[in-house]
Amino acid sequence: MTTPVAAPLLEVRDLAVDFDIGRGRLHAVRGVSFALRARDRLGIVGESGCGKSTVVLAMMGLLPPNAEVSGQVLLNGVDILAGGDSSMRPHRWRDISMVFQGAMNAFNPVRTVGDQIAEPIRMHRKASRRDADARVAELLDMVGIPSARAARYPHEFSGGMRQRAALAMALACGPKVLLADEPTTALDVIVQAEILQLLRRVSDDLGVALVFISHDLPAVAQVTERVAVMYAGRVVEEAPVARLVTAPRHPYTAALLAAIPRPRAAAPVHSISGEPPRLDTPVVGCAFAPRCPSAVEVCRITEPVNTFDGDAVAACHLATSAGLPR
Amino acid sequence: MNAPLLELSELTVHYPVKGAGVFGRSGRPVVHAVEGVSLALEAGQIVALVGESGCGKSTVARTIVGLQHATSGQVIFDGTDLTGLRAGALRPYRRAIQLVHQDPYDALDPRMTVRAIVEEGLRIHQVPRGDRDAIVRGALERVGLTPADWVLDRFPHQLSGGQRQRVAIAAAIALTPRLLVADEPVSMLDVSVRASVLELIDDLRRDGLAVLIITHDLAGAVMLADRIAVMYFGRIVEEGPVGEVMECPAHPYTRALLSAIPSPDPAVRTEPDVVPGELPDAVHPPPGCAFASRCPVAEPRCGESVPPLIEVRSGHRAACILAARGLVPNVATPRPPSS
Amino acid sequence: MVASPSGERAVSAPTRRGTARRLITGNRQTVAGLCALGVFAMIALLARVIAPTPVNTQFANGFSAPSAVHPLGLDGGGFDVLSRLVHGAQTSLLVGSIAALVGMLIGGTVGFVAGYFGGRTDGVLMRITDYFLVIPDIPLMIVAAAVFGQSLTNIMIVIGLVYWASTARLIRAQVMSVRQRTFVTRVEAMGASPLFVLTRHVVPQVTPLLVANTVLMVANAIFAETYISFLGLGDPSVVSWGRMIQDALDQGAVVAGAWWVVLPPGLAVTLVVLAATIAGQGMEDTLNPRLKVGHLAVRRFRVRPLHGALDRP
Repeated sequence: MTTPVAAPLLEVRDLAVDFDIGRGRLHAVRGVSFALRARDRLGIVGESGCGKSTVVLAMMGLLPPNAEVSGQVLLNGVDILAGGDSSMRPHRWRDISMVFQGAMNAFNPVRTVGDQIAEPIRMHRKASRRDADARVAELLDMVGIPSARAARYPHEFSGGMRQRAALAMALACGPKVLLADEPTTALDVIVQAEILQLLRRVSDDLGVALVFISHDLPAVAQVTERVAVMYAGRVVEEAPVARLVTAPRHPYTAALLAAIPRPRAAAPVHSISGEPPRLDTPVVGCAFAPRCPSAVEVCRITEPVNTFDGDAVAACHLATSAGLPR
Repeated sequence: MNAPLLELSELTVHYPVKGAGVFGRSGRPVVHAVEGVSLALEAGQIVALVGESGCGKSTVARTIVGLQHATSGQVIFDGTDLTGLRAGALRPYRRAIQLVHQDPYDALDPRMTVRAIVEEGLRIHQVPRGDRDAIVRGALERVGLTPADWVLDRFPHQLSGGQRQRVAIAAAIALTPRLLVADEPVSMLDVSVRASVLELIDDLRRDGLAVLIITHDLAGAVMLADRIAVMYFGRIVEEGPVGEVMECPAHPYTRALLSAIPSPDPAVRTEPDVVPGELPDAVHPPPGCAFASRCPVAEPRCGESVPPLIEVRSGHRAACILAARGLVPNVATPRPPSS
Repeated sequence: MVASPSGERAVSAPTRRGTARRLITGNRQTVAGLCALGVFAMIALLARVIAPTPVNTQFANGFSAPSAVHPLGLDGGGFDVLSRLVHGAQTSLLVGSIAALVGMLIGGTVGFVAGYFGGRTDGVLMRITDYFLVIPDIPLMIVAAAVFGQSLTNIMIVIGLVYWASTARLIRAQVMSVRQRTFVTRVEAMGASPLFVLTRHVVPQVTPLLVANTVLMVANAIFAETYISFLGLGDPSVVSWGRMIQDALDQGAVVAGAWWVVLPPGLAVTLVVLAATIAGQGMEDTLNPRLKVGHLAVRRFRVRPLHGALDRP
């Protein structure tokens, strides 16, 4: 974990999540740490099964009963995970809120969108109907929905509009931290670009710290300043986005970048062969070693430690400050 | 130039709005899903049909393989119009044209082994029993699942998404089709796996296969397509060689799509070149260009009538009156319309 | 060198046998219910052997408390209660099973046809189904008994006719959902005939649910038989539990304080119906489809690793 300059608003320390799956345990998250100050924008990038959604659900205390969470989530220095759900609940939505994966499809079809956005306001702030409606109008304006639409039902909204509404709902109680889990995944590319713009604007205007989770590295690069790349439950690299994209230090990051198709570039696109490791058995050595083109003997034996280099960190035996050796 | 293997001629698909009236077909509101689509595909060629969700590209795919009836227009395969054929006459074409679905997690019957899945098509088309094993093994090896013995007795839940999609492709090519319609073949796969599946599809054309790939991922389509057709609101709005369309898009919608693709380089800020707005109502389509409400360069004339596809360069057509007049920026001046 | 897939989890194969095994043994409720039903079935089968005395012999003129010779005493007509109970088990279970089978056949067929073919066929079949769903069961059974006579066969058919409708709805819904699965449209696109798709894909997916539903229907059918007989509409020539309860009340057993005449049949019906219900519900629980997402199955919070078990180099 890199050391931020100011005191962090949100700090995640050695977060680990194990699931009890009856016939064993699944080590979904194996020690993730990062920190955010106000207005920071962090991206967490990874493919399916890497644990990125589990991390944010753990931060919100929303994992199912068979999950065992260890580590700390410090909000302004206070560990909100320490006391179980009762210690978490006061912070939920008021200090830290979330746009869930598929939130645009999670609206109650028989209630108006305005009502649903007002719900957390009335619950957490005990606001009167009029105050809540005023706040809803304010939120809709912020996310670019004409306020007359508040009285409409979810099916009358397009996908992009519903995602904006989900964002409005997450911002309803004025949180300091916003977790967005795959907010643009199901959207068309033009709508996606608009939502990415919106996320940037909201973070700038409201001073909200943003954690953007996605498998889509280019989308994340457009919104965030720093990116953490996750693989098999760990953060394998974290760096300012420009540096990550031009000089990746971890072979997995490099492979991910090589797999992105560019519409106008002539460079061939490469896949990564093999599969991520099963997480129900303890991982020996580096989790990426079986698929890594640069792997050497030590990679298969010892888990790599974080190598710091200024404001970047990579968990690779071969990482040096000059970038990846070739 | 060879006669095209597949030719869509003014293909139109309307389907009735659900729950809108029980009696009689006239007067029932319809969704104009596909409107006057014309496209040609030659053997060994890969054409990408690109567009956003709801533009009708999946409906086109389903109509080609016979899962959907065309309201009007023709689907001409190897010289025969498939649209009028009855189920019995359609059967051989159901072998020659194969569909690969978007969802590899649902495309395989969870109760069947890989062997049974790949063999099923052979069973349907009554391929002699003795030949089946060799064909199944051959298909699995062709899609890169080697040695075939390891997969043959597996169940789908034991395979990853990429592997499942390869099984689906194997099941399709086991029937030695001539046309493969791939509907978003990699959109549900991890990014790191997509390239290899697309490479596989690209490789299949060595066997003389023609491929129509349906996708919303413009960048991915570029990897393997020879020609690209862009659809919007049920119509083809631009069509041409892939390099040219990507470099010099003639239609404002294509330009908007290209401008919206996020670049991994944060220094390049993605600003979609489009006016905020929404798709028109598919039940009551507007009289003019459907993109006009979101087009950054729209003129009042655009709303008058639907612009036809005009050739802006050799083999490159666009349905935009501004493109025809050479008024869309970043495009070379079109040749005057040939008489 | 391809590594052999080691450490592969022992998932029960989704084949026919695997599913059957899972259905029967996968749930504690199911096992308990099926065992209890099995016990009753054994009793019914061995009725003649178990009954201490012949069932149709009148031993005395009226009630007689339980004794060594007659463990459950004699009823108002002087007949051995235990013998009647054991023989009654035959009737109740037989009627229950066959009526449920009739209901399953009709309901299953209607459900499959309506669900698969959709359109007009579905519309017509569902209107008929709705009609049968709405008919009040007891009046129908009374009318049927009055019109067609009070034989065991008639009772079985009538019960089946009353209860098939809800099965039809359930099966239709399941068939429709299976029909939309991608693996079905894929095979249809390949040129498979409707019959091929039905038999090879739809039926195997839906049959386990049909089995579970049939077990539940057995519970309903046994209960229905009981109160048909209780109302005096049952077959007068056979002993059944419902008949025993009716006789008990007719003979004034309650007034006479002869609990051994009223309680046993009532308890027996309760236990059998309970057993069948628990077993059927347990089976339906086992079949509850887990969320396709695969990460976190809401019902049981089981996490499944997303990728396959093949270890490739």
